[in-house]
Amino acid sequence: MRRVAIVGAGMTDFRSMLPHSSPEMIREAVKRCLDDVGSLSIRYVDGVLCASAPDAFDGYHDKVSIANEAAGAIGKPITRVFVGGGSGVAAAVSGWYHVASGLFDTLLVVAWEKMSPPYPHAQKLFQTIFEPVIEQPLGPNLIWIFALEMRRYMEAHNLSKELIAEVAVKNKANALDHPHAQLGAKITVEDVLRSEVMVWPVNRLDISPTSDGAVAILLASEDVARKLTDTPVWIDGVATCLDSQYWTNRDLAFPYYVYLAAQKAYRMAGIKNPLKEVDVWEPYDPFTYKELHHLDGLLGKPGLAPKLLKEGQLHRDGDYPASPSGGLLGVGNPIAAAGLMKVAELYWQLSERAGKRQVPNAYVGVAQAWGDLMQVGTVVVCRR
Amino acid sequence: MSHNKVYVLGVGELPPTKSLKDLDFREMTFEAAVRAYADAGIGPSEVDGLFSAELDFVEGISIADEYTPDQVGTRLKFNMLVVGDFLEALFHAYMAVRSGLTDLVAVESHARPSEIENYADVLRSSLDPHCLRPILSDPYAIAGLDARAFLGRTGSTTQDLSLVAEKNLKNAARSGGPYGEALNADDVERTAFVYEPLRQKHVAQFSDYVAVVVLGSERAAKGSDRFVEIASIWQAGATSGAHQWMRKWGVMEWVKGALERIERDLRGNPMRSCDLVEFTEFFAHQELQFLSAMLRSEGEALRMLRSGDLELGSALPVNPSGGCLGNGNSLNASGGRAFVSAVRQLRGEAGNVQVTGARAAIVGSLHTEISDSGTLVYLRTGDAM
Repeated sequence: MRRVAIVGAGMTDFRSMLPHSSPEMIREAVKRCLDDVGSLSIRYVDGVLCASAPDAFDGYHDKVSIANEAAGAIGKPITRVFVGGGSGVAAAVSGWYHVASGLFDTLLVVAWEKMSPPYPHAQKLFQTIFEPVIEQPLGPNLIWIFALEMRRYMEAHNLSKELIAEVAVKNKANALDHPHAQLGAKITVEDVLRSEVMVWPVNRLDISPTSDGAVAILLASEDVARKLTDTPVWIDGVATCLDSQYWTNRDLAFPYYVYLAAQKAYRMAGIKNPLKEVDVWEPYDPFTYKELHHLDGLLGKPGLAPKLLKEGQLHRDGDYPASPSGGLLGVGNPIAAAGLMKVAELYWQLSERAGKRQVPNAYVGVAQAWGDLMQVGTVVVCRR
Repeated sequence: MSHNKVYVLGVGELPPTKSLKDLDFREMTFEAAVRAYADAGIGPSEVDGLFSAELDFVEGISIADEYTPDQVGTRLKFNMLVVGDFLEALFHAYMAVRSGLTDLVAVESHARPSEIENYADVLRSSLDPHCLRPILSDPYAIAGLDARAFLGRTGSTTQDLSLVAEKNLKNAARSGGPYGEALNADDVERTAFVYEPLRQKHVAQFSDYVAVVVLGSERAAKGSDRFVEIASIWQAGATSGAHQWMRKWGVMEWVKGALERIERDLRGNPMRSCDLVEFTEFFAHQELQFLSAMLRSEGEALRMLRSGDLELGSALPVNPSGGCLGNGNSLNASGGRAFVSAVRQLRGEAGNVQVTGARAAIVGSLHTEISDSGTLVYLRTGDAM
């Protein structure tokens, strides 16, 4: 297989009501990414892959048309992928095969989301992802079904709300060191427990915010990467896995689809024991419990992540640092951009440019996102 | 470094129909998948994953790929939703197989325009909300402008567009396309202008359709005796964004880039070795634009049309299936219909519209009806080129 590297990354601030249109966000993220590669001209880039979640957020049908000019991609190959919340990491997976296939030597991957404009809240638009005959008439929203999953997870492993709340405390504190973070904060477990109950057992501070933002990374083949940078970060394993749409027929205690995706990505990357071989983790954390739930899938051991959290091992200075970026809970959750932010964080961590967020001796990292109707896992394994 | 070759191992479809009212979109997809796997001689458990091409507002559901794994038998496998036409998903699937990430994958796209009550509003919402949506109650007006620019620059007339319609409607009448009929160009010329200079019969009507195609590497293709190779494929982007103000009207600029890439891959001009062309001409002028770009000569495309050289049985049959004018506009699945038609031609299974001795084909599709971007594929049988 042809080796593929990340050679640059850039992002906008993640904010609610960011005073930028989607094209402006894309343009800013792309510019920062190309500036990161020695002010590389977009003319040098062979094509663009973009990712953004439901069209409804932007109010555009087929919204790739708002990305091509903003990304400087007029006349270049440009396509869009998305798998709901899994889109950001899926874009890195897709970008990988663009370059690994030999068709592209350089590829710009850009993800964005503009969630603020839907009024009164983006949550209403999420109703359109549900099954139209049986589920939509019930008027469901995402917090309902995640509350069901969180409850099942707590039940399966006898977890307390207090322990799960520590994920919010950790990630929001980590985000204080992220220059683009939306919700970096010093909070306590008590703050989480006292925050408004949305749908029990989910409190407001268990949830990541709605956000606007964009992220871009530049991928390159091995030959080109070595010309562009001294610190390429290699994407050595990629996978996605989609489970059944009938989420009510699955045991929600363990994300089997994340487990399968991770196992495939590890095989590609030659990783036999992820607990020993991975130095930095960026699991998808739109809710507090999801970081633990997804880490269980990535580690292949149901119930292990809460134990590691309890031991303090998931902190930035722990043995298994998880979401050193601050994650979605701290940096923000502009859906597709949030996943690609996690891949960008691996790039910054593994090239030792993460500043105050730097995890010492980070050589191998894993980023993961999750989406569709609680059914898709997308995973990349990166290596210094 | 060598990469995998990519082959078409199976195709399945529900033929285009004005309204597939008795089948839910999930049932449609299931039926096509069953046919594709039977055609490939495999079971769904052998497939590594799925690439689908859907559009949220056309589906009426956000994140439409949620609904594909159960129907296609790809639950707990690789999945990627590519937003656009079938050929764009095929482009992604091709790269995944070529890179070695996957060995055997399904590519799926379906559309049910018969159930969409306000398609003009849907398509209009792909345009800039400030400058274009307020003034374009019907976005097909863009196609009218594009046709006007093409006719004005090339000196062609609506009669030429009617010749395209005559050819494709007649071909569809032979292939069983839902809009096939034996009209001549004068009949077409008597239909009303709808987006001047486009007349009623210059515009494809809607049809429901689903396609599932199985792609595989050499390893997966081993033992198959009727495979078709995807020798080259390329997607090329638009000349303008959603506002259209930079658009190059009346030409298919995207074809230039895609053609150059395919020439590079094949080390030769694909038009010289191709036996037929299938292209998603949602409007009659688009077939001429596409051919002009492929031949690098507007005059030559017009000459061939007027002299009957694009007819079935001629030197270069174009849309022998009947194209979109004869089979209908199946939105994002249209490229799938064109692709399946071409594969059937190369396997000698095209029935009444079989191109004798067909060994290589070009398939092109637009991203959407009014886009100036698209995807180009060169297909050949095992021993062509």
